[in-house]
Amino acid sequence: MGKSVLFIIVVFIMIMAGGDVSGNDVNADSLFNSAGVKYENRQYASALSDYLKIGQSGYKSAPLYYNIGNCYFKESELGYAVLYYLRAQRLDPTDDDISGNLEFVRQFMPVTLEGVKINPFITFMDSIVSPFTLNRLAWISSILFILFVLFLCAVIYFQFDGIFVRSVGYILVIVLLVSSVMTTYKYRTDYMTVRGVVVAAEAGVYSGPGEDHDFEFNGAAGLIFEIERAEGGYYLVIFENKRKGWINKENVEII
Amino acid sequence: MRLKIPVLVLLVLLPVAISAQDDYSISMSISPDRIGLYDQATLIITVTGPQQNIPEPNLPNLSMFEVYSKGTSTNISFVNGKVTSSLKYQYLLQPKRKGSFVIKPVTLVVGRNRYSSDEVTLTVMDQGQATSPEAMNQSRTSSGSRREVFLTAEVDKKKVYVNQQVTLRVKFYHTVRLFSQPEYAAPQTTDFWTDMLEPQRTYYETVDGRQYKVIEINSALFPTRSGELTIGRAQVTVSVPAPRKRRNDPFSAFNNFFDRGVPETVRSNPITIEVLPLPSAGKPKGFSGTVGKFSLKSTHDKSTVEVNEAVTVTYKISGTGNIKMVAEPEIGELDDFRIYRASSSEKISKLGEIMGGTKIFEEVYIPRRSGQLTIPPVSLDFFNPKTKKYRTLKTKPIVLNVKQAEVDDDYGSAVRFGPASGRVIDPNARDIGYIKSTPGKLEKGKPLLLVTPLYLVMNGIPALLLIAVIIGSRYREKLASDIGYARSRAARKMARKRLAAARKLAGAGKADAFYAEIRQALFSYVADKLNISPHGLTGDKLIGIFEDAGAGDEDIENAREILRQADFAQYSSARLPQEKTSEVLIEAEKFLVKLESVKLG
Repeated sequence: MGKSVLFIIVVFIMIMAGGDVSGNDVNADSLFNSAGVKYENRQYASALSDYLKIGQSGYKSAPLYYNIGNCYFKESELGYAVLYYLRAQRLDPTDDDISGNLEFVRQFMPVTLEGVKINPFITFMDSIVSPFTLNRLAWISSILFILFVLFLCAVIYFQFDGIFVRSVGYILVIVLLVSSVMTTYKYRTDYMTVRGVVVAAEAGVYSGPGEDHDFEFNGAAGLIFEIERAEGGYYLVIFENKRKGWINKENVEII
Repeated sequence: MRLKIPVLVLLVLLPVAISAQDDYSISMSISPDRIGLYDQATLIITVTGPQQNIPEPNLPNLSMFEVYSKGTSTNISFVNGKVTSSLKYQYLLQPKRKGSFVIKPVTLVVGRNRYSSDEVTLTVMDQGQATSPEAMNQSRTSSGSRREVFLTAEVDKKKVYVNQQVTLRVKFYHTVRLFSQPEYAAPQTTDFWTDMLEPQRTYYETVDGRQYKVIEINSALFPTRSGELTIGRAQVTVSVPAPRKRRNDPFSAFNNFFDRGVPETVRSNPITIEVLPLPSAGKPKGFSGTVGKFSLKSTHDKSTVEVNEAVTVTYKISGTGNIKMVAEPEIGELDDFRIYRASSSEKISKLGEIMGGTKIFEEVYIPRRSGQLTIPPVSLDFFNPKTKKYRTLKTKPIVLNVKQAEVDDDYGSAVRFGPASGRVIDPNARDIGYIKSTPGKLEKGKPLLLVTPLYLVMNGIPALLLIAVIIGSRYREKLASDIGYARSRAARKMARKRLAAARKLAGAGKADAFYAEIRQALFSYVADKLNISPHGLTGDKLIGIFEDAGAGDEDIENAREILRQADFAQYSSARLPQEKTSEVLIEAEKFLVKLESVKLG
């Protein structure tokens, strides 16, 4: 009886969490391995094709995106390399290889953004949020919330009191607040804000949605931006130096 | 009688149907019946029948030809009130080999009848032996002796090396007004890498004393293998004026006005080219097959740099030949530098009939150490078909003065990178990290926890639990602090306990104790509900309370009866029968239930 209840709970959690109970597809694994061999033999285009095939069949993982980024870099496609490293980083922000490669390839960006102002709050938030995925933060804040509620229930029901109980209470409240703020910030920056990367070697940025508007400056592969809105075939974007402009959708990819 | 009309109709229509089937015919012809290997013949199948929906004929085996449909045409005629349809199918046959080919009869099945044509024979000969379509074109002229439209194809060289340019010049000549834009079908050029040269030219040229307007289309062809290669026929389809039988027609001017032309297709002759393999004598090691005449230059953006500062070296290959096929100069691994491909571009130029251009490769060299370092020369091998010799070009070595890097922490790397200011590569980074050997957990579209129902459940259940605990706690506090409330809430439970005890006493035959317990149950219940002492309560007071609470007369009477029986039993020695005690018990329980609905006090 107990085991069947446990089984039902486990299945329920997996379904609710939308987890993938099956293992990796055999073809995807073998394709991944063969792509690795091709990469080793410096057949970067062929390796890239195999990795992309895995991605096109719906699979995603941080190592897959990381390897795609490597192939693109070796093929001198800087914009796509940055794009896939960022996609990999979203899935696994703790991987130093991803952030290392991202930093490395961005050194080859042919255009420099002048006047990038660093917001200390955003920098601080980014530094504490970056090691976590949004799902991990959501789990942490949920578990903390459950612990906090159980603690409150115990305090109320059993009428616990004293300096220790109060200290535990305050700590739990603070930790819960911090995790909730981090979750909200991560959700806002990673999912509410649509970000993109310039993938074309050159991409004109205009004052309006079309080439008939004033030309502002030339964007280049690897530049990251936030999308404010879309109109026709153009996005209104904000680059990291807060410069705004309209850019052709064909020259960019959404992260 | 009801069957008579359909039978009659059938009898009337049957002979018509039979006669209709009998009127079908099918014929097949081919024109011309003798062609060259690279020529085409038109197979015409004509089906005639009495109705418009003529069934489709069954074609014979034509596997020895490439078959292209030229479409169908329908003709309906009325002769002596009789309708006759004629459907003509036209197919273009291009032979795959020489020989005499018998095309079996084409058949048509209508109902149970089967019709078939005669067989035809097509003779395919070596090119030049047959009457070519051009010769046929010549016959269709306004004067009867000269061509009005024709197409020629020629090449500048008939003997070339592999990957050496051959210029194909296709000319469309016409002396008549064209009713449509000429549709050009390029020749088949298997085993050639092809690129169009300059846009088509239009000019006038005199041929056999007659001035023609010429449209010339030029292409550059690069053979990809040695041997005898054939450039197929080019083809132009255009509408030209229809031939007129009566030359002295006074209404010819009107005819010209209404003339929409007839389609005319002209084809060029196929051309065979001898392609020589590149000579093996003097062939450089690792030769990539570049043919033409090229120059190689290298430039670098700076000569003095710091360690890990990027130097961009641009290799420029220019010349004539198939520039698209020119391979990147081979650059080996260097101990002193890390090397990255920055970009490559090519610019094709077409100088008249000669194909050429420029190909630029940019390589980024990042010095690993300080000192005077040399970027070694790169080389380009190509075969020059004019001199018939291989040639190797080399760039000059590039000497760099590399200084130790000065680390400046005041700037983030983001503002220092870029070719304009020179790239500064992270000194600790040697190259991008190597690929991952395992794919990790490949997942298909795992949703965000935040948007799954699990998240709602995980956070909702504790919230509900907390609310329940708070409500429970407040209830408990009220019970503890408000005695009247606590007694009131416990009144029913206590009364039930007493009634249960009374039931036990009744079972034990203790009538006096039983009634005392019944009486106590009722008195305690009321006292608890009103938060008063049960000791001061009497039967009359209890009844008075019921009356004040607005209890019904029947209920009050029941209460009186229970109390009366209790008094009677308690103060008399008479033994009550068992069924009487049960009756009293049930009445007491009913009465308690009634009391629950009466608001006391």
